Amino acid sequence: MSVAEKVKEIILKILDVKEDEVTPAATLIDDLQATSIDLVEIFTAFENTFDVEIDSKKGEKIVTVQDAIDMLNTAIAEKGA
Amino acid sequence: MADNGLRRVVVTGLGIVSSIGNDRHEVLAALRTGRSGIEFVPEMQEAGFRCQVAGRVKGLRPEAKVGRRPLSTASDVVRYVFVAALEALEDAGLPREALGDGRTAVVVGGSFPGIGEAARAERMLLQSVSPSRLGATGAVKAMHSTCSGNLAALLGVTGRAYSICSSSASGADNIGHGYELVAHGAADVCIAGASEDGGWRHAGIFVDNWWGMPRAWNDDPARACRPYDRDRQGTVFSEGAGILVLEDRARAARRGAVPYAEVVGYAAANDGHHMFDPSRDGLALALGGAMAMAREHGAAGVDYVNAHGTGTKHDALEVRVLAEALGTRLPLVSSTKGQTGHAMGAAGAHEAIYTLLMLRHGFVAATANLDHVAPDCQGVPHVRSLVETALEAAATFNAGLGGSNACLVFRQP
Repeated sequence: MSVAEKVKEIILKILDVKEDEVTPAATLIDDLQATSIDLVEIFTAFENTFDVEIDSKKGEKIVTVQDAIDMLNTAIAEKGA
Repeated sequence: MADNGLRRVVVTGLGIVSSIGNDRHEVLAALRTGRSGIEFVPEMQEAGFRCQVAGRVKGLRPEAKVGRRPLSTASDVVRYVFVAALEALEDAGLPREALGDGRTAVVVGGSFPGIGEAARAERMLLQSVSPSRLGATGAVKAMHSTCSGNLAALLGVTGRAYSICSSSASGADNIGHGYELVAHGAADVCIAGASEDGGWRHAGIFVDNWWGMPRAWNDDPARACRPYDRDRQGTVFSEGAGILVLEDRARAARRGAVPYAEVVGYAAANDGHHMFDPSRDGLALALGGAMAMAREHGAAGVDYVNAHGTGTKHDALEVRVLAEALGTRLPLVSSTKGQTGHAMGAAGAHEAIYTLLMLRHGFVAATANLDHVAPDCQGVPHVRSLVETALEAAATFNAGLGGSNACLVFRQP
């Protein structure tokens, strides 16, 4: 399963949204109605799933679903380097 | 209104998740056939327990009944509550929309409701992972009022919502307090009960250490828990949730509900003596108080007592107190723990439900594994095989660590 697919799966597990709403351009807070607690749960799931660290600086930059995918791809590449 | 000026309270719905079934129909069938809920637990063997059997919840799928968002703050203890409470409300014929008027309360507790989540967090910290890996929902899963808070949020309940913790008496005390809220007019409906999850793993360690659990039946789990039996070695833990819908009797009648029973007695008392060993005083006060209250409600006595009967040495004291408290008209006595295991804080809620099912369906379930009544447990009419008999009134009681005791009495509505 690709990073994008796993990200979508995690978001669907935590937020009450439909699959077709989780588009790359969708914003987590405004479009998908994530609360601050939801964001922590999503980032925690990212950390545990991909074994990466997401500090608050990285977290603040994640606005859309695509932002999350990009950040995770970078973090995974850095980890492997 | 009863003679004492309090409102009369009936049970209009019940729901259960347990080692012997995940709804009232499965549980009724199991009580009739005696099917055991106790099984070998490989994790207990791996962890090095001397006792390696427990009664676990099997095959529960709360996702089918509850949306994803409510489950995000729910540990297993709350998942059990969700399933049992939704069943109880459906059984009572109460739609969720009717619960937000400030006149419905939630009182659901347990012995160790947050212990699983706390242990999970501690385990992760010990593995030196970043604290951020623990997520954000641990606080609402580990808090002692996790059952009541989560259930109130799920159902939109705006009346009182809190949880009572009194060890193995928790179930009876949460239900008893719920009864008092409705009887005194602080609520019209109370969703009351208790839940416990996985305590065999966390709390069971300590009990295994004091030789309070059986060792001889790891290969024959159904025979391991033996209340009042000559060869009893200790209790076997189980888990699950039991929920009752308690309702003002006049209100229930107006909406045409068909109650299981009227609550005619509740009393609780502490031994004030010792954290482990019961003294008899608290149990005598709880039994005596609940029976006196039942007499005030016009009940001549009870036909059946679902006793605490854990399969430990304390069974003997319990029988002596029962015989003294009910001596003039001894009722049938059984402990369902031989079949189900001891669901700790949830035991009192489970056993209230077993008792209510027996009241409605006219039978008394047997004490499983009571092959030879121990010399120190004689003196009451033990039920050793299923008895078909109409019951007018029945009691159930529990005794917990820390000297807690509580007794409930139900009568045909």
